[in-house]
Amino acid sequence: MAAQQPFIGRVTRCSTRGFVGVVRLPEPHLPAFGSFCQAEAQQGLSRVFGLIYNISIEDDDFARQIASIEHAPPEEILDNQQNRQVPVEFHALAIGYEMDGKTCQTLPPQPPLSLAPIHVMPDAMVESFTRKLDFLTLILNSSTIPADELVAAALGHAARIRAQADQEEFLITAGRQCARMLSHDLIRLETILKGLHNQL
Amino acid sequence: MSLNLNQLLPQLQYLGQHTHQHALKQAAQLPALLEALQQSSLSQADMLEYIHRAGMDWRGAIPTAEPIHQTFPAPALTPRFSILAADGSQVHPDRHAACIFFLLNIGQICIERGSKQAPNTHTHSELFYHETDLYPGDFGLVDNSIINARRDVMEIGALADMAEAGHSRPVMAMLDNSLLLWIALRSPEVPSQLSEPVVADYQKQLDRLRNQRTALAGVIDRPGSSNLVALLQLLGTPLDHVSPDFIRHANKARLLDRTLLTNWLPVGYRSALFIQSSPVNRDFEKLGYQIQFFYLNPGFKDSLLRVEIPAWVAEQPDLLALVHAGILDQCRLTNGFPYALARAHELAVVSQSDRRLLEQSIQQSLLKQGMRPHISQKSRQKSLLSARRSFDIR
Repeated sequence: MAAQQPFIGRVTRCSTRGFVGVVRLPEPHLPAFGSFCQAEAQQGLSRVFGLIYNISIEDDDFARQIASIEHAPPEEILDNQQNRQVPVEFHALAIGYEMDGKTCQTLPPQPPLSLAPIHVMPDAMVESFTRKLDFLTLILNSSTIPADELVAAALGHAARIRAQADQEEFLITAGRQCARMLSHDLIRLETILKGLHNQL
Repeated sequence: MSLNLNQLLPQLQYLGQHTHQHALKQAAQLPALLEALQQSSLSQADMLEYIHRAGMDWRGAIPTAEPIHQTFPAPALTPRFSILAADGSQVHPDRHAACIFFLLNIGQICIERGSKQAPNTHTHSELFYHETDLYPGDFGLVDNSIINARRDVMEIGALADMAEAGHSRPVMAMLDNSLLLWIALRSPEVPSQLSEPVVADYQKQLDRLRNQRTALAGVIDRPGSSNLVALLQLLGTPLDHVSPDFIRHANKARLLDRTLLTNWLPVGYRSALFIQSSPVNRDFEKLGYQIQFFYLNPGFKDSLLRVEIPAWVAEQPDLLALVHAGILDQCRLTNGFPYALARAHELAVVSQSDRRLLEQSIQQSLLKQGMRPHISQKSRQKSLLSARRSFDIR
């Protein structure tokens, strides 16, 4: 099933906490901050679900030369944007996995292997996965990522793929879950709730 | 680190001193040579008389109808034209590897100026492992010079393919080397049974480009030639003294043309056209591909390009103007070296990691056939030692 979803890159570095993927520009389905993705692990026995929290374009001295030219011809600009193998690197936080038909919202037992294909998680799967919100703990407990913004972006994405009538209810439920988890840190909670409000 | 810095430090100091003294000595020659260039009043026929008297072994710049001191500003550039470039790299055979092969990798790019479209790029990779490729004739394992020459043929062949593909006209095509095939230049060292087919193939590709009326140019950055200096030194000799014997015994320590011209040629200007005197060029001339050259100041610090063009470009003012203005336009983006050539190189270059991947894939292919590939002990020890070095404490 995963193979039928849009391909967004391949794993280059990984651990059980997450994985880093690389994709060449331009792809029709560029990864976006807060979007859900999946990569095969354990020789196809399991799938690791990830949430994209960082997208970067590697530094490139050659492109920098072109950037410094005031009136660079459009053909050379397009060459750098479309042809050159300057990869977009994206980082995904592991938020769960699927094995033997069962979905778990905890860290996976094994990470995907290098060069494992990374695909977009289909809307139906995102909708199903986000019926439970235990994965928010994995995000909120990560100290090295923009966790609060990621929670808001991921929940906003999960809300938008639902029917119009269900979106507000989903976000209110998610907001309550965040309130339970962050009852000890009202400043963070306020940031997330404001972010969720903006998704409405 | 393997360098013995204690031994090297005094040598480095002497190297610096020597280079400085050499530069001073060269600078002392500059004013006289520049004056000789600027004040040159000899006619083309008079200069050809000097060259005739110098004999066939004289290596220098033969003047054309353009006065040797004349410089030419950049002509206007047509808004729509195509820029083609090709470059190649190779993996030479290694008898310590799991099996004997060589690889040629050609990068090519076509930019259609004015189209507002991304250029077409392509990399052609070809493995050579047949006996006929590895052991041509009865001369043992193929010499690297033959492999390099086959790469040159593939590069110019890639240009010819693109030129025939019907891109926007006019078409400028560039190579990152001399147009006189290198193997032909060193033909005394390469058996003619091996070099002649390669040279013939190269000339066939030149024919295809000429038939397409392509503005072909070989671009050489930091040229190491002294052809123009040799001409000026020859013209500074009394005509009565000039003879093949005199040339053989003349002092060959020369200034480079680029040292002479870098600060003399205005930005964007090209020098006069010259013909390189060499037996190879005489052979090329007989077939209608005489190679001419000019120097070009692309406008970046201490940068000077030598641009080689075939006669069919030199004799057509519109093609010559396209090469002049087109190369300048390309150099604007990449600090004095044409963008398309830089990209063709990027598309062609085989990195160390590419090479490792290739070798691993070859070993897998052999394993699938039930073979047990192994590299030589020497190669294995080298890789172990180099891996150890990568963990050196910094």
